Amino acid sequence: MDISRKKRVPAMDGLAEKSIGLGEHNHDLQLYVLPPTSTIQLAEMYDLAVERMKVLRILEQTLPRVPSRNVDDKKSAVLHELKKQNLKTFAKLLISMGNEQSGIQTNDRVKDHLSHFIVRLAHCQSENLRNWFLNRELELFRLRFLSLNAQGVRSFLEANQLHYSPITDEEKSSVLKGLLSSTAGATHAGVETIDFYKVPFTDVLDLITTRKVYLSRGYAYIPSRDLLSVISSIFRSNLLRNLQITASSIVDLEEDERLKPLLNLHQLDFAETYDYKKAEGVVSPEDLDPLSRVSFPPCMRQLHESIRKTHHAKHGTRMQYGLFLKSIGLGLDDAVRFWRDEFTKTMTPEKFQSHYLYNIRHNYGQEGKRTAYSAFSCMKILSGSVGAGDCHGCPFKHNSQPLLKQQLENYGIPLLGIQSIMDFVSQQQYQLACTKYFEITHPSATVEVIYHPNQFFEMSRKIHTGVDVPSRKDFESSRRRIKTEKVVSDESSVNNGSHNVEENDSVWDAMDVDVSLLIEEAEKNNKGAA
Amino acid sequence: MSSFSEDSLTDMLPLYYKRLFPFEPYFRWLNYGNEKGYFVRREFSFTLVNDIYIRFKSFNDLDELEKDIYKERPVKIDIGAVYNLSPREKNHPNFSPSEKELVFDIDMTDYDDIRTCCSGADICDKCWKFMVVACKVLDAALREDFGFEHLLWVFSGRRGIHCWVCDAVARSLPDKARGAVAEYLQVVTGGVNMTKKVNIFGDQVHHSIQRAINITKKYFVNMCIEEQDVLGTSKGVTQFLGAVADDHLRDELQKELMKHTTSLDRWNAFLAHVTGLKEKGMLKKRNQNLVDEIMLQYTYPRLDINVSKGLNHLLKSPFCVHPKTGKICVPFNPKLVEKFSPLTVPVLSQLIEEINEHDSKNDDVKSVKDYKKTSIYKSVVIFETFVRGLEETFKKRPVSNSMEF
Ligand code: SF4
Ligand SMILES: [Zn+2]
Repeated sequence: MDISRKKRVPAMDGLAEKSIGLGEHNHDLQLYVLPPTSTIQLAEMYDLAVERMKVLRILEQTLPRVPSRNVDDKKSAVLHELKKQNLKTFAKLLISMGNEQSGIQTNDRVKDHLSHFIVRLAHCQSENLRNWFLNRELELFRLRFLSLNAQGVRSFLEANQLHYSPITDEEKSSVLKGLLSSTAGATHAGVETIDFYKVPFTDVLDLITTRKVYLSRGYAYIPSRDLLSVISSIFRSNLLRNLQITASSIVDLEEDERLKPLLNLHQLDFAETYDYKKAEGVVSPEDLDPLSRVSFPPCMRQLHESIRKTHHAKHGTRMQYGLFLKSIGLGLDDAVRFWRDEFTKTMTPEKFQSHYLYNIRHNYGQEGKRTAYSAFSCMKILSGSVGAGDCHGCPFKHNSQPLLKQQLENYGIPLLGIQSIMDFVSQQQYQLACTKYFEITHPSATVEVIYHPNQFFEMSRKIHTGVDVPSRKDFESSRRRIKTEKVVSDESSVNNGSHNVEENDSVWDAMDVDVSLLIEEAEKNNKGAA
Repeated sequence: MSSFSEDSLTDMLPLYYKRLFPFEPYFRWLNYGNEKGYFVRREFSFTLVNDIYIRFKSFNDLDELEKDIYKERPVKIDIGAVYNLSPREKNHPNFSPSEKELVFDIDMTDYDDIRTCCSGADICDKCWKFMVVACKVLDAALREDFGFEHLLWVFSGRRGIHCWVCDAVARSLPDKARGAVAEYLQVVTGGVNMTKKVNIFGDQVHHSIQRAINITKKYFVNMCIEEQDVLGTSKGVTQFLGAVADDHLRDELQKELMKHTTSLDRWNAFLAHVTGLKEKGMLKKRNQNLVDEIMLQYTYPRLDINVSKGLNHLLKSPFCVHPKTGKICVPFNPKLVEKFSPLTVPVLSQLIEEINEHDSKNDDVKSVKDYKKTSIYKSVVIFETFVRGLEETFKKRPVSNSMEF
């Protein structure tokens, strides 16, 4: 799937030269501000896009399963997968330090640039797709930024004309006390020697959320290593804005038959996010009590029991549990029935109707923007905030240890088992604790690390019923689909008249498309903004 | 003073809206100097009698708003977001919220596990102190850390407070940024299943936490230990010690505390024991901040952060009448929050009597505005001062924000 030198269209080289100084191909890492301006074969475009989709899918699947919070562990897990799937260019780009020794060629950068834009095009049509793409690209960007060495960072800032300059010594000494007390991991000596940058707090939201910086009058004072936070927020807002702009101008492109497969790229992907459409009604409200005891992960069992007991649920619970129920196949009507039966034990049907119904329908994409929300992953649940009075979250993290022990005892876990679960809890390895819990409650099963409550559920159902997980099958077949289509287009390039080939597929070949036109069309409003 | 009955609400509301509701400054507030056609794109929602709930109402101007309120006599008015289009076009595919004040909601129900004087909907001057502390801590953080200046603090009508941050920067924050601010201010975490709700790691205490400690310190012993008597029962002691993560230390403290009988003696025993260990260098690193952690767990504002996080979340409007208590959701001055008591907040029926009484005794019936005849006057003045402060900013910098985003 490499673009061979022979096949590569000359225009791509031209592009590389043209945009030096514009912050596109003059650094291994890019912000993808300017769209590519070159001509390329559709089939090639498709290959590029599929390759990047594979990368993004690896991120999606690998990152949540790395139990460690260490960036290097995450990166090496991703790198391992990239290599396994023979995605050489991206493996190189992932670990590039941003200087000559990285062995990155201009055509690697061009490939990165082009594939980003093609996949972007395929993901601008709905909010769901935009968010998915945005989050994956952000993950990729962050990992790559963290590979840069000091010089790599400096040249990146220069190449993108990001002029951040450190605060002066006088300013520093005027806020020294705050910097010392509020900068995560700061020592006296450290604060005096490192550079601090003063940025609007909205540029470093993640540092605000975790209270890791000194914040005064709306400005955050960040140490140089936290520049990543600023840069990724720039990356994020840039990309988000461009996605929206592209979305509003893509209507014309949809009419172009040749582009259909490109715009449908995202369909190749979504199978394994536990967002698949299960036949509604697979589960009914009456099944929930027994299911919750046998196959729910503790986070969901706890919520189920709390709702049955209090007949109420706060917002966080309704989201976490409601989306979980949706994903295990509780249909909308059944969901409404379930919540109504409980809630109306303590409130009038009118109140339920006016205050809660919308929210439930919303979760099913029946109200508001009609987005289909996906069920929360462990990562999302673990990093979410749980306020006083809330009972959502992950019991391994959000419950006090004595209470958790008690709960595990009530769930029938033997004492030895509780001990080994609690060991993981003490090391803050919550997903591993959950995995242990799964092993104990499902003896003789081989398990993978728990990364999603729905994965927990499905693994459990599979063990209890012997029926395979539908999502897995979908996923496999979608993988095959990629391969088949590839084969089809290869064959058809040899034999253009093949009857087996659908029209759309044959269009892939033998036709040059001006990428610049396509993408510029979509991004035309972007010019001013960039 | 008369007592309020729910049935009379529907009779009195028309009068309230006609004669007392401060429409003029209310409009000037939400009109924001007519910035970007704000007012017309603002969502209002009304709750009418019998729980009928109407969303996505909007008005072209003050006149339209007034007339509709006279006509519908809403039991409750909620204020929502400013949308990109008029809420009348709510079915348009691109209809989405674009701006709103950054809002905070603190409700006494979230304190039910630590207040002993009242429960449920009840409130007294003792437990109100939780709100006083909440207001002080948040007000300081929003001003000093985030640089916000235009904060409208409002009594929520029964047992809580709301804060509307109206600075231009705050209004234009996207959801994600609202979430970040809210989480920054959420120090008490962990739900009903977590007994230890505040964690301060390491030996440097973040300046915002330190400031909160300094504020709450002044209240803690009197408010929690004495008035709430949190250590007065053995159940209270167990709950208190639930905030000690270390099994061994917890057992030790349990023994120490139970040697005493009153809440205050137990607290002092706790302090003495922990300080003693610390001085001897025997307090584990993890427990270094235990005293502060516990104080914060009992006093730091408990936010319902979902209200703050979402652009499209609705919040009850100031100057609504609470349908159960008849109390007016009046603004108050955060600098004088200690003087504010929920028990003396004007009640609708009382206001109407005050008008009648004034009118029967004086002959300036026509020339004096009705609200000036009643105890809502003070609240309207506070509100007008707030609105004037806001309007100053439109004069100074007509359009642009002080900060670049
Ligand atoms: S680890 Fe994941 S699945 Fe297990 S309880 Fe926690 S959130 Fe639920
Ligand atoms: Zn009380």
